[in-house]
Order: sequence, then C-alpha cells, then structure tokens
Amino acid sequence: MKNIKINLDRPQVDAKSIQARKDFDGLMKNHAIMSKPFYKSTWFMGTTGLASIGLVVGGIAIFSDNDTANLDKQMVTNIEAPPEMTVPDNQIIQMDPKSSTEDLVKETFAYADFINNSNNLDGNNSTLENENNSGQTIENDQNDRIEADLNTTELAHNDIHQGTNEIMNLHPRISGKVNGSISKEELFDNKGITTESDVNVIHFELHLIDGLGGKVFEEESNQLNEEMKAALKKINSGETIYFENIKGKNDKGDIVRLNPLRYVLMN
Amino acid sequence: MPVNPIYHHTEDKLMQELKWVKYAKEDPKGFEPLYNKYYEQIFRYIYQRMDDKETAYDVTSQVFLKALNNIHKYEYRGVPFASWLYRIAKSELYQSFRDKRAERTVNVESMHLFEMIEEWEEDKTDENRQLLLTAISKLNEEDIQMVEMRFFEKRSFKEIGDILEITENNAKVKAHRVIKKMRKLFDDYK
Repeated sequence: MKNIKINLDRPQVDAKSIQARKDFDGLMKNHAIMSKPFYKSTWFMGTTGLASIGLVVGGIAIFSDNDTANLDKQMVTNIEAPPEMTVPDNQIIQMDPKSSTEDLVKETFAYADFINNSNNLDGNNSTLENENNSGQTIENDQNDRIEADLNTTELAHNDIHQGTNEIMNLHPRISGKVNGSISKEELFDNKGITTESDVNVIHFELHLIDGLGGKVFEEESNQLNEEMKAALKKINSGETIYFENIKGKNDKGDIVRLNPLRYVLMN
Repeated sequence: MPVNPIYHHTEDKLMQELKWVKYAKEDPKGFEPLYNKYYEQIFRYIYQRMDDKETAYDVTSQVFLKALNNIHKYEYRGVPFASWLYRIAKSELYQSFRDKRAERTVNVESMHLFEMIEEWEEDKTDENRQLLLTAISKLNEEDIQMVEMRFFEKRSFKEIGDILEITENNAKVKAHRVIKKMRKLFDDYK
C-alpha cells in the first residue's frame, strides 16, 4: 500500500484525557447551526435580498429606458417634416398682436379648416389655386363657414336641452315637487300626481313603511284616496313615503310607466 | 480471542439503546447517553488509524455531529448502535484522508506482532518483527483494515462483519485469506 505510515508501540491515550475532550454542548450548538433551515441562514437572506434589490433596480432601469426610447421615438416622429406642401404667400394668416382673443380663435379655426381642405384637395391643386387667387375671398368664405358651424352647434345644443326638458316633463310630481321633502298639505293638494306633458297618471301605489312592516295602497287615478290620506295623517315627520308603479296614459291612448317618487314628510 | 463487552450487548441493553435513539429522534438532547457511551470507543477507532491526535478529536466530533444530524434516518437492525457509528466514522476517516487533513497510519504494538509470529511458530526476534511490518505495509487497504480489527483491536468476526457490512462468515473467510497472504509475504522476505 502506498503512503502508509506505521507507528510501532505508540503510547496509548488514557481514558481520562479522552473523557475530558467530550463536549456535548458544543455538539448541540453545531447541530443547531446545521439543522437551521437554509432559508433562515444569513447567507440565504443576504443573497435573496440582494437579488431582489437587483431585480427591482434592473426592472426600473429597463422600464425607464423603454419609456425614454419611446419618448425619443415619438419626438422623432413628431419632428418629421410634413408631406411636401407649399403654401402660397397670400394664404399665410397675418397675425396682429393687438387682435382680440376672439379673433385669434377664429383665425386658428380658419387655419385648421384650411389645412383640412388642403389635404382633401391634394389631388386637385388647380381648383385650390383658382379658389385661392384672392386672399380676401378665402377670408370671407372662412368667416361664413365658422358662423354656420356656430349656428349648427347652437341648434344641436337647443335640441339636447329640449330633449332633456321633454324627459323632465314626463317625470311625475306632486305640487310641482319631484322627490325631496314634502308637507302633508302639499300631499293632499287636489291636483294629485301630475306630469308637465300630455301624459295623465291613471294608476299608482303608495308604499308606507312603519316599524312593524310595510303597507301598500293602490289607486286607479292620480288622486290620493281617503284611505291613503288617513294612513298618511298617522305618519310622523321625517318618515319616507314612496309612490311606486306609477302608470300614465297619453293623448293617443298609450299607457306608459313613469318614474317612482320618494318624499320625506316635513310635518 | 476476548469479546468486546462494550460492543456485544444483551437483548435488554439493545432495547435500552433503542429507547435512547427514540429519545434522540424526538429531542437532540436525548442523544447524550449515546454520546457518552460511545465517544471514547469511536475516538480510539479513529486515532488508531491516523497520526495526529487533534485531528482524531476533530474527526470524532464530526462523526457524532453527522450521527445526530441523521439520527432520524437510523433504522434498528438488531445490532448495537455502535455499528452505525463505526460506519460513519469509517466514512469520515477516509474523507479526512482524501482531504489530506490526516495521514493514513497503522499503529502496531510489538506485543501483537509477536503473538502472530508465535502463532506461525517462528522465533520472536526483532528481525522477524521487522519482516512482519514490511509484509503489512505491502497489503492493500482492505486487508490492512481486517488485520487492524482482527489482530490489533481484537474484534470478533460478528463486530467486524457489522462494521464492514459483511456477514460474520465472510469476515472469517477474509481474515483467513489475509493471514495467508501475510504469511506468504513474510516467507518471501525471509
């Protein structure tokens, strides 16, 4: 056998000195260190922590780079020259620094309109040139167009307003009130549930909720009946009453379902 | 050949040891009786095979630490707990040789050598003792282990079988072959 050393009559180690080297506590300490789960060890925590920080920093750096690159791309896109287009001198809008804001807005609209028209008429330059021979004519045309646009917008606004009004007119009400607080006098008003349109209320339900449950009264007209009035007189102020399942009939005889009503009694 | 009383147990002692193992599996502090019982034995086994005493203590500590860390893997096979410790010790010992932390050493007592010479009916001279040492140095590692355990440490074939993980009969056969080999080497050098 290679590399073997033979000792002849080496002195024996006495039992006492061997026993003196016993260290069970040391063994327990080493065991505790070795049996500690790896994920609780310092090296694992440190490595994981550093890796996490690295990932976060790296991620932020990558995303910020992408954003910058996109921004650069956008900037490059935006500074690209528009397709070849020549604007005759007489079409350049002269800006008067003293002009009012209204004039400025008008001129801006006119310029935008001009750009649109130019694009639309790209293949028909001759027409454009003919039309634009006189700068004064263009300015007048543009003003007319702006006025027409403003009129159209006003009409549209009126239409919307009218539509909203029509919807509101269909809403049922008592003593002119659509929801909110109401007094018993207003409730007992002999006009009953009305609308401001040609629809007449022909049916409704009154829902009263007290501490023990709810009561529902039905009426086939727009007026509160005696039973309803008697029940309402007993209701304390601050309580909420509900008018549900309100049906109306228009001049043509069509029956429509109207919005429910909800009031808080004032007295 | 005398029987090692620390290794060879009665059934009651084996059961007692098994109880300690069970305690140790539940709580590492329960390992203390086993540690106290086998510390010296394991240290001597290791120190017998290396030159440096401090390294022997280190390796002994490693053996018990490894045993405690792996106590949950221990399975009782009807043999003393020491056989499991010896196997760990053997593994740690050879690991220390591979790591160059210790040098493989055979520690021999003249008395044991003369016993062998006497058995071969040769003269108990210093010259024959030297020839026997030369014959031992020519053996391979496996054979040296057998000589150490059987002739220098006086272990029974059963104990050798448990440590080397071979049967008792196999241990007997191997020991016989090693003796024959040594005798042949002794005669060749004579």
